Amino acid sequence: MNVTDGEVVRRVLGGDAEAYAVLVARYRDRLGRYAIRMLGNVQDSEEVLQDTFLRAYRSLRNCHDPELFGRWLFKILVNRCRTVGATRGRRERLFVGDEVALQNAANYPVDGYVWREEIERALNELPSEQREAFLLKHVEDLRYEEIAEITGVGISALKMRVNRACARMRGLLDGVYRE
Amino acid sequence: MVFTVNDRSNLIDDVAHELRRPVRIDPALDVRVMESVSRELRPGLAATLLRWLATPKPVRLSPAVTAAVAASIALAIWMLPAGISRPAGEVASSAASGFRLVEFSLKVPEASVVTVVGDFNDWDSAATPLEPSSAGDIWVVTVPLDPGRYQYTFLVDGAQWVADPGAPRALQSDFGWPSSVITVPEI
Repeated sequence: MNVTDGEVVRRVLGGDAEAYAVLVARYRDRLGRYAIRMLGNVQDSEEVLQDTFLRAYRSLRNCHDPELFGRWLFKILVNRCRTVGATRGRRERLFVGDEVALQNAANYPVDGYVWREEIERALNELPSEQREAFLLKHVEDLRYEEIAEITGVGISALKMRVNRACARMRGLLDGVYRE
Repeated sequence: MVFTVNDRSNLIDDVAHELRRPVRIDPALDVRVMESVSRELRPGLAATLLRWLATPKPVRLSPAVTAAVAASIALAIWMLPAGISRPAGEVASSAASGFRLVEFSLKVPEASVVTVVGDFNDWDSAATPLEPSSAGDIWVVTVPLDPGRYQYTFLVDGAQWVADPGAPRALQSDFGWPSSVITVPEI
């Protein structure tokens, strides 16, 4: 049986720093996916991811509910993405589609590239606060209460952002063909 | 098979399905993180001192200093050269450490709890509480910050977000609440 996040956090706080590797391995892929979708740049995303894990380690005593370490970690990541996104802009956004597609070339037929690029392009069109809400709701599949806690934004405002994001995505992608 | 993504109810599900596909993260990232963690653990007086300095802590100011703070109601950066001692009640600093001591203050006469929340404390609303002045209307905290640009805001009584009236407002609205910007220059 896997140890819970809370057990691992308590081990780390008790002096077993190596146990932190369990948490890094457990969350790297999910957090990395969010960062790449949000920032649209693999290099920036990996820097943010590394910074997030290190900041979380330094602040681990501030994780008041170790069993909810994942949500707490996500909160740090979301804020790091906001900061980096605001300061660096969304440079090279379209490059990501190519890069990710190349990395997963075996999984995507040629026309799949087009569909994926259209999604990347549409995502890029969203204001960052709508993109954030859309990803957390529809990709990370979080409840509005969880998103509100992570983002510090009220639930009604989040629902409005998600609805606007969906409407914008439909407008941009409606009629796009894929195979 | 070719089909059109024109079913509006399914389009968002299709998009989400695509965006949930795994992405490739550098396998060496785990190693880099754990190497950084190991560096954090290096023992020694300097590391202990740095960690102590890097921990935000409330500072009670003397009435004279509080009055000066009230006059500015803003944010001040103290640039203290190494080796100069400060009077009791003020904060120490180490130029060798690379960070500056930044004072955040806010005038809120009726508040019970005031915290400063920003990207320097991972937007943790409980991490950096301000202390009230003796008069009770000026809330102050001093925080060591590395050079860089930071966004922050104040949280009053756990419910009201207040941008710093003495600092530039952040242009980005990503945070969902009004926030301010501070740039801490290199020493």
